[in-house]
Amino acid sequence: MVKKSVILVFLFFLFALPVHASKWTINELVENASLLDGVVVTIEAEAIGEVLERGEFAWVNINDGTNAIGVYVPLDEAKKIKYFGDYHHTGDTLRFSAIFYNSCDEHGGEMDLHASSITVIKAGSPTEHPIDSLKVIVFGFLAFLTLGIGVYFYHTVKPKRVHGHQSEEETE
Amino acid sequence: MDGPLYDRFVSLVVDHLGDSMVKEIKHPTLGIISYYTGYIIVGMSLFMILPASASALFREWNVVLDFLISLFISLSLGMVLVLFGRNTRLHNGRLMWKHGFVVASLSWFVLMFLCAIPYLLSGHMNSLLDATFDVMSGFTTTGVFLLQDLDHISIGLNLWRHMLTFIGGQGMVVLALSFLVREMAGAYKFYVGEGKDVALVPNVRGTTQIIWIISMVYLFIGTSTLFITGLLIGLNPTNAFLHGLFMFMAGWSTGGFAPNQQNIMFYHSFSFEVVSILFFILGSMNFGLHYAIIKGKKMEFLKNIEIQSFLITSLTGSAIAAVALAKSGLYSDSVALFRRVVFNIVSANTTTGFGTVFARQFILEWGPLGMLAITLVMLVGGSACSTAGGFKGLRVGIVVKAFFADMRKLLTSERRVKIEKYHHIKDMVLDDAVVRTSSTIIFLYLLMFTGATMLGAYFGYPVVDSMFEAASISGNVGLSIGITATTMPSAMKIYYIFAMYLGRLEFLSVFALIGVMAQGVKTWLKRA
Repeated sequence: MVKKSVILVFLFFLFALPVHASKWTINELVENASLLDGVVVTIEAEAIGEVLERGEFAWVNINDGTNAIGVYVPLDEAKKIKYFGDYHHTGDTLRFSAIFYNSCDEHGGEMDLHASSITVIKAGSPTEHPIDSLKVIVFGFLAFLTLGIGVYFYHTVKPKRVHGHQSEEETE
Repeated sequence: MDGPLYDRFVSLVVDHLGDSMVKEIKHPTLGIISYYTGYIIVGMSLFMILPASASALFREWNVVLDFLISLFISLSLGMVLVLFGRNTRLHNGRLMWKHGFVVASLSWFVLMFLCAIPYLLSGHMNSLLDATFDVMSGFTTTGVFLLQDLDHISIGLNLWRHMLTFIGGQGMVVLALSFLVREMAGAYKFYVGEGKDVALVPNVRGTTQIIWIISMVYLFIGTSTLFITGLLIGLNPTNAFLHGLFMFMAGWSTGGFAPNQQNIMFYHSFSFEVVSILFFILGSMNFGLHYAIIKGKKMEFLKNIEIQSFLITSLTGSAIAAVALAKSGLYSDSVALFRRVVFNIVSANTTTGFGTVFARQFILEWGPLGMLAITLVMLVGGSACSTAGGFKGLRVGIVVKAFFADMRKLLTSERRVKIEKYHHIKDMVLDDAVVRTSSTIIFLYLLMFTGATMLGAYFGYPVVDSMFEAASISGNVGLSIGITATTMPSAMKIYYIFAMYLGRLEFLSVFALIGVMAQGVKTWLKRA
C-alpha cells in the first residue's frame, strides 16, 4: 500500500507538473539571471537582424516578444536559418536548448546563451505591406492643398520681379 | 512653371482665396512668434524628404506615403504661420529676449506633434501620447522610447528616429538660423532660447554654421569608422552602413537610440563599443572646445573646467560602481568590468544612454552603491553648449569652485583680496552672478528630478527605481530601469515629456512661453 502511494506520488510529480518547466521567455531569464546562471534552458524565439560570423561560430539575435538576446552557436547551425526578422520579413522561429550565462567570461561579461544546435520549428516568410488606399487619397488631397498654400506663399513672401529686375522689397 | 492654367491657378489662390483666408496678425509679438516659428517648422518638415527617399529606395511604399503626408501637413502649417506673421519683416529691429525664448520653445512644442505623424501612421505606436513621447525623447536626445516592435520597423522610420536625435542635439533653431534666415538683428536671442550661449565667432549665423559644419564632418568620419567596424564584425555592407549612420547619429547627439531593441548589445563587439564610446564622449563636449582645438589650442582640452569636471565624475562614478560590482563577483576580469560598468557609467555621465547591460540588471545586480553612482553621474551630465543633458559639468565645476573659494576666504586675512577665476575656453571671473545662475539651474533640475521621483512613487514604483528613472529623464540620459513602458500611467508620460523638454531647453524658454501664454489669456479675459 505504501509502495503504491510512493509510485503514485512519483508519477504525479513526473506528469502533473507543466511540461514546459524548462522553457523560459527571454524576460524571465533577465529577471531570474542569478538563479539561472549556468543552467540549461529551452527557448523559442524569432531570429532577427542577420548572422554575425565569428570564425567557426556565430551570433544569432533572437526576439520572443518579451525581449531580445544573443545566442552563440556553431556557424553550421546558424546557416540553417533562412529568414531573419525585419520590416520585409518575419524571421524563422527557432527552438533550442542552451546554457544561459548571466555574465559570460568568454564574451566580456555579456548576458547570453550558448547553444550547440538549433531547430527551425516554423519557417519565416516575406511580410506583405499592401499600399493603403486611404493614405493615397489623403496624400493626393494634401498635395493639392500644399501646392495652393505654396503658390500663395511664394507670391506673397518672395521678391516680386518687375521688368526683369529684382525689386528692393525685403525678402527672407 | 508658366502657362495659362498656372496663371489662372495663381490668380485664384493669390487674388481671391489667399488674402481672405490668411490674414496677417496685427499684434507685433504674436506676429513675430508666428513668423519665425513658421520658418523653423518649414525647415524641419523639409527633412522628411530624407526618410521618404530612404523608404523609396528600400521599397517601403506605405512608409513613403506616411512621410509625404507628414511633410505636406507640416509644410502647410509652417507656411501658414509665416504668412500670418508676414508683417514681421518690418519689425526686425524690435526682436526681444522673450521672442527668442518663446519661438524656441513653441517651435519645439509644435514640432513634437508634427514629427509624431509618421510614427502614428506606422502602426508601431499605441497612442498619440506615446508618439509625441518618442519624438520629444528624440529631440531632447534622451533616448527612452515607447515604440513597439523595434526589430521590425522600416528603415525610413528608423532613419527618422535617429535624425530627430541628431537634429535635436544640434538644435532646430540653430539649423534655421544657419540656413533659412538671412541677416537678422536679434538672432542671438533665438540661439540662447534653445539653450546655447557660446559664441564661436562674433555673429550668430557664423556660429551656428560652424556648429553644423563640425557635426557634419564628424558625421562623415563617424559613419565611415562605424561602417568599417560593422563590416569587420560580420554585418552585410548595407546594414553596416545603416547601423553605422544610425549609431553615430545617436552617439554623437548623446541620444542613445539604436536601430534594434538590444541597443549596442546587438553587435556583441568590444570594438564597436570602443568606437561608439569615443564618439559619444566627443559629442558630449562643448562645441566651443571643439572649435578651440580645431583652431590649434590643443591645451584647452586639459585646462577646460568641463573636461576636468567630466574626468572627475566619470572616474569617481566608475570606481564606485566597480567596487560595488567587484563585491558581488559578477564580472571576473577587467575587460568585463570596463565593458559592463565603465561603459555604462560614461554613457550615463555623457547622458548618451547606450547600454551594455539589460535595463533591469541595474536594479537587480548593481546594488544600492552602484545605483547611487550611476544616478549621480546622470544628474551631473555633460558639457554646456553640447548635445548632452544634466546639470552640466560647467555648472557643477563653478559651484564647487565657488564653495572652495568661500572656504579659503574664511580662512585667510580679510585684507587679502583675491579674484577667483575658472577656465572655460578662456579665463573667466568667478563672480556672484555666475554662481547664482549655475546654482539656480541646478536647483531647478533637482526640483524636477524630485517631482518625477515622487510621481513614480505615487504610482507604486519602488523609490530607488523611480529615482533612477527620474534622473535619466531629467538629465536627458535615456537609460531605463523598466518604468518607461507603454503601460506607464499617462500622467507620468506627460510629466516625463515636460521634464525632457524643460531639461533640454534649460527652463527659461519654456517659462517664457508659459509667461507669454498667461499674459495673452489675461489680456483676452480683460477684453471679454
